[in-house]
Amino acid sequence: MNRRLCTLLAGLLLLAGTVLADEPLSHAARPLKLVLGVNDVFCKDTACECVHGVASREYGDFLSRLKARYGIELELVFFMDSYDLERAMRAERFDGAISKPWLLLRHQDGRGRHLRRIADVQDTSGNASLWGTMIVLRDSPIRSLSEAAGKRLALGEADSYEKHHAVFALLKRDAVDFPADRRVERASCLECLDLLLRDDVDVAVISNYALTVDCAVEVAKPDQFRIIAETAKIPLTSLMIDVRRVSAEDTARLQRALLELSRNALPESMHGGGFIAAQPWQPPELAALP
Amino acid sequence: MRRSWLYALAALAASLQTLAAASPTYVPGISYGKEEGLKNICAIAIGRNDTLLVAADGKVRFFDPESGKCTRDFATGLTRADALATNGDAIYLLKTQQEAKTVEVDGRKVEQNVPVGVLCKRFSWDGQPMDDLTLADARSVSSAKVVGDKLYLADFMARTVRIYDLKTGAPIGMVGKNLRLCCGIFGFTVDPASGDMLIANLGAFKVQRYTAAGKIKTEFGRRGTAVQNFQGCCNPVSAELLPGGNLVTAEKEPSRVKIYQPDGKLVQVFSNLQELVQGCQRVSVVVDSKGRIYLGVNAKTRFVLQYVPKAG
Repeated sequence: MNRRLCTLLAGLLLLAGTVLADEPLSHAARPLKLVLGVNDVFCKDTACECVHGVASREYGDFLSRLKARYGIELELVFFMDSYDLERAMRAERFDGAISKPWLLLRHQDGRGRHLRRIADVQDTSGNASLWGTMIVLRDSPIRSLSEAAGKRLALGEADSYEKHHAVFALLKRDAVDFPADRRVERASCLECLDLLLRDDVDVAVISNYALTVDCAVEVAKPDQFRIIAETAKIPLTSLMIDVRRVSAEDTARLQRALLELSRNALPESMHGGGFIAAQPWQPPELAALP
Repeated sequence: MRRSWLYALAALAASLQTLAAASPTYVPGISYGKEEGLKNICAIAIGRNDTLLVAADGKVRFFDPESGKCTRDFATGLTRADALATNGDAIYLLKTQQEAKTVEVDGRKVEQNVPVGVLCKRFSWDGQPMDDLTLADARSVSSAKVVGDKLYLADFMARTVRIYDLKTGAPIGMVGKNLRLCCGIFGFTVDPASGDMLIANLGAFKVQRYTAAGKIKTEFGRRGTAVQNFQGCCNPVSAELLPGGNLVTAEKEPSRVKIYQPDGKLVQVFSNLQELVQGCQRVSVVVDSKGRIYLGVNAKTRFVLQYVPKAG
């Protein structure tokens, strides 16, 4: 009798264990479904085909586990072009987004004001930061940022934090001036590289990943250039939630699930880049916006 | 005073009329190949009497431009080609030849197909096979044109347009150097009148006009949200000349087709255009003698889309 009871108890425990393994680590019976727009540098669905060897992250398996274990269904809508994501967000199509945070947060007159960063996404080498690099041609006589003062500069437009605002912050900190009439702003790293390679400028600013995970890999090699300065680091990719559309409770539940799943059961198809807690970042430029 | 205003208004109206005449509005025309179910449109070209030629699924098909009907076809022996060109006498089908080689990508050794040359098959207008043309030095082909007695070949790997003698295949010259290309896409066209070349330098987000001698004559374009700018990771993928001097550009995802004046001033954006291609694919574009524009669509439904000029 005792043996039978023990067997029964053991069986029940085993069953419970099996069920628990497939059950949410953080229980929440109520299903939660959110739709997010995505423009992620390291994601295969939003990166240019020519860099799929590096931009190899696929969210499919992660989303399946998130749904199976936590009852959270994330529907991702992918945008190869960041402008399209911006437009879609302005049209209020989504509950949130996965993208470079500045791209969306900067719209403080509208949607950006209501977005809250709840997690950052690592790249395939575990890095979650983004920064601008100021480069010159390898054989340029310019050896340092101070030597570049007054020269011709190609930098990003205001929608790019690392290639624009972070650059001005760096120049201000180091008291280096590039006169306005010697500066040219271009939206893409490729255009800045083109201007540098054509000798139309002396210094170009590109994103830190441009020569490894961007179309620029087809145009130039890192050893063609020298880095003379780097901007401060900011978050590379964040998952942001619209607090008007998603309750604080659901946001917290999603955040817990993302971090827990990334820590404990990150699928291989995420290529090492899981979600981590959002790094603190308060860009001063946001305060200056209307 | 009043009279001078009237003169000014008349002059303005006249100039607008001239511009309208020079810049007709384009409207959707016929769709070609929907019945045939073109599985993979490799390339398109304009042949004799404005016949539309489409290379797809191992065949070259001939479409009547007026009715949109396929009038005949012939098998090419190539399930996939990279470029199609014709002067109305012969048809040239080109394909990049590849070899499997071990290369290093991001510190890892992977086996990849590497371009090693170009196969150029020749057919008579009737579709009879002729001798292949040997094209020295060509490493890859993304698009091609035949103008006069020359074959122009966009060599993505070399980042230049190579020019060959049409009869012998002997190299004549090159135009464009270190172009900022990516995604294996390299679109260009040749102005038969001047020999100038229009190159879609997609990585630089520019359309560049080169002289026959290879010097940049004019250029325009940049990445940006404004409609006259180009978008995506790299665009435009094609640039073709229209009768009268304007030009048409095509952008891959997000798909956009626009008409520009030679100086880069935007004339028209094709509205309600569905996604022509998905991801990093080229959009084949050709223009016939009447200014009709043909777009090779490789998205969900595969066909050739025509846009026709509609006079003011």
